Amino acid sequence: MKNNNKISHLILEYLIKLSGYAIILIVAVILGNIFYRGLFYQNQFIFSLNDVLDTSPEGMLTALINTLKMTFVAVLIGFPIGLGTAIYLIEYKIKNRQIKTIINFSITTLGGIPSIIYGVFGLAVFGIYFKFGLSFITGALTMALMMIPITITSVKEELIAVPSTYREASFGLGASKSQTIFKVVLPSAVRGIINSFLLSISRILGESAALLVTVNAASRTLSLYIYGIRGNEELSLERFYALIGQSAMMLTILIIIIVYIAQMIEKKRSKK
Amino acid sequence: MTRKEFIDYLVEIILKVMLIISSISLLLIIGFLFNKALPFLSKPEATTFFTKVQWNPKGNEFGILGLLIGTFTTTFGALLLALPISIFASIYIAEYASPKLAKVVYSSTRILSMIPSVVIGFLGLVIIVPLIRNSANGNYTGESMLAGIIVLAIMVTPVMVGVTVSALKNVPYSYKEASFGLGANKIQTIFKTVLPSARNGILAGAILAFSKAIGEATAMLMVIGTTANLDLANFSIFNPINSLTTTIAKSISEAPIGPEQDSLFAIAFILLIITLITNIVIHKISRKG
Repeated sequence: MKNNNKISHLILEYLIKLSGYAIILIVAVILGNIFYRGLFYQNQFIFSLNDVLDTSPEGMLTALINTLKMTFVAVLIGFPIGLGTAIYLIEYKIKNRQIKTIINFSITTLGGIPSIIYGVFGLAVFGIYFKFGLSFITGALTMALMMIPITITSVKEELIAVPSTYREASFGLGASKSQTIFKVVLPSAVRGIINSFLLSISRILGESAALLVTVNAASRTLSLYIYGIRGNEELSLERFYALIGQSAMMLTILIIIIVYIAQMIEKKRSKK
Repeated sequence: MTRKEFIDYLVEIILKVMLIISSISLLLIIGFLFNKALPFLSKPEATTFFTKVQWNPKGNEFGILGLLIGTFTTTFGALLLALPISIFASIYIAEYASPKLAKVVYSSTRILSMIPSVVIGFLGLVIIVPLIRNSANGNYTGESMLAGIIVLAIMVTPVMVGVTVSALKNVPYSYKEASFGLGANKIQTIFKTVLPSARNGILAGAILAFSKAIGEATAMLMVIGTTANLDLANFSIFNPINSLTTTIAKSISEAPIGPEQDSLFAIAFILLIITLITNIVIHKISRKG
């Protein structure tokens, strides 16, 4: 009886450790493939600045520029709304308990909605109702909406992290509410807010589903470009692998850079 | 009113407006989608929506049963694959690994979550699909339910690991101390004390993973083959399949106005309802914990 137990325990421990290593292995294989396939196809070096810096309407650089443009607009509209909402939720009191619960539930659920649904909503509202059709602005507004719950959740945490003593001291010195918010709380939380900002950007850089249904061919972002290669039947097998490999690698690198910058900022903060 | 008071008043109003925008967004989404889905759902065709397997809007066939099967088989298959590995890996991170190694494993999942779904879909297309095509006995293209399952499993693992590690770390040390004190070894302590104690968190993680898997569109579009019609006679995980999300994503922007477009909005509305129910369940479970 005792021996049986020991064997099954050993097996479980083995499986546990195996799972840990498996995760590392899988992620390594994934990252390795992204970079390998961005540079090589069947042992031939395929990375080409001609492909990457292609500024023709169907080219990779155009797609990248569209991604940056759209992200910029989405963030311009979505981040302030999310930031303002988070500030109100943390710094002001909502007296009615039920309304407070409904608001919090509403925002949390908003964050859990799949991006394709945001896309369908964007299509229905901005595309059809406001008659923008499939366009840059439809896509950008849809992404702005997506940014809101992401922003609220992370900024809330940063604001909560500001010690209440800071606020008390500020009020004690006679500052008004808005002075306290803008001259004490926000500056104290600014590193964290920038971190949230960059992380939410990194998430919408890779967005595809919502844009698939709201954007026209001219405003195609990098993620849509990657997706579109698959449907392009004129490409030879080599060109297919070359283009899709390079673009996937470039998109991944872009996201990694943003996340890396965010982490650098985060690290500097804890050094304080 | 003094200047200070006026500015305070102004600031509060502006922030309140932003709060209102954020709060009613959910309602707007539900409302607009419902409004767009209504023309279809109120028609007699709608009754066959859930019972018919064939999805062929151009041929006037509007059955989403095949799509529902596609969505749920890939989702549950992904959970079946991802849950054990995620939970065991989380136990490894929380209970066994050295701090350095734990950080490496955990960071790996963070990195994985940053990779966009198109890129995962791309890898699924160029690695997993050919693998299935060459390994499965039979004439398969490789674009299949199985490819969808594997891809989804990869995508939900980070969420699962994140929540589970959190739940495991929240188990009070005293529980473990008590267990060791009673003579249990590490494995017994983990499986009979720690895991049950973290049960709510793990469940919440599983449902979050479910929610993420159900809504995934792009990666699925690239690997599951998206043939509209489920061949129930030849049901196999190696067969191509279609899901709710892929059907919407493929056709909605080009669909002609009329029953075709309306039906796609109806699908989107159904998906939204499923998502809302899932979120309510998560909310209730997190409360209990």
